[in-house]
Parts: sequence; structure tokens; C-alpha cells
Amino acid sequence: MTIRVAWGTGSGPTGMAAYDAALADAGLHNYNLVSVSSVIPADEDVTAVGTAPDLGPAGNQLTVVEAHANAAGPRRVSAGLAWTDSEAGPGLFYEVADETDAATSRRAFAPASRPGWSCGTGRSGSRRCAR
Amino acid sequence: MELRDWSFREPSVRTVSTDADPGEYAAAVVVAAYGQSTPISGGDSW
Repeated sequence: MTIRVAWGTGSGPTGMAAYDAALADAGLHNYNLVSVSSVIPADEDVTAVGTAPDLGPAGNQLTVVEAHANAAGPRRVSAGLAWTDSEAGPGLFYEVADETDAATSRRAFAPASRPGWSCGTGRSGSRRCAR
Repeated sequence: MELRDWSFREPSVRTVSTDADPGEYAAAVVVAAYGQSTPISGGDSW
């Protein structure tokens, strides 16, 4: 199984319309997305593709890890994923999404760039990383 | 805090940003899609 990382942006008259447009930009708007937490099974390839290829008929379900930011203007929103594998085999995704710029989002991944980092999800759904 | 006894390699990162104009909404997504899609198996319980 290949894990494909796709991304997109969109705008619209409502938050849902903007989200749908962003998913269309990523090539994923015709699937029922089923979110899972962030573990990457051992020996799975993760490939950044930008726009997803045809992954099956419209209406199918698709398992995803998603970073998603949405806001009313005038504002800037950013979303990001970091991913890595471990020497033991499995890996992790780390999601960041907020009303901020891309540089700030990248800094949010700083803990993930240190050796030995681990991430967890709190009760609020926020992501935390620590060594 | 040590959540996992794993040693991770250098991560890959992908971020995306967009500006929402006044009176509009904007969204940014980065999605990791696991494999191919599959039919929804709701059965008769719906």
C-alpha cells in the first residue's frame, strides 16, 4: 500500500464550500474521508504527490490523516503534515493547521526534527510532541 | 515524556497556505491518503 500526501487550497462563500474546493484542488473531494490517527504501518511508502490520482469511484471511503484549516477573510490559513518512519519500522504523521502563515506552520514542526521525538494527541485533539 | 520507544528519522514536511479575502472563506488542506478507496459497507443497518 502506498500512502499519498496531497494538498490544496480553496475559497468560497461558506466554510464548507471553501473546504470542498480545497479538497478538489487536492483531488480528494469525491471520497468519503475516514480520519484515522497518525500511525504509519511499517514498510509502507509515503509519497508526496500534490494532487491525488484516481483512487476509485466517487462515494467510496478513503482512509486519511488530514490537516485542515478554515477561516473567514481577511485572514491567512495554513495546514501541514510532517511524517517520518522509525528504525523499528512504524512511522508517524504530525498535523498542524491554524490561522497562520506557512513559515509559522513549519516552525511548529520543529520538535519533529529532533532525534527521538514522540507525538501524542491530547483530549482536546491537539498534537503534542516530546522526546 | 516518552510516548514511544522508537527512534525516528528526519521528517518530511509539507505545508500549504492561502489568503481569505474579505467576505469569503478560505481553506487549506494537506491529506495523507492510505492506499485505494473502498466501497462503503453500510449493510442493512442504515
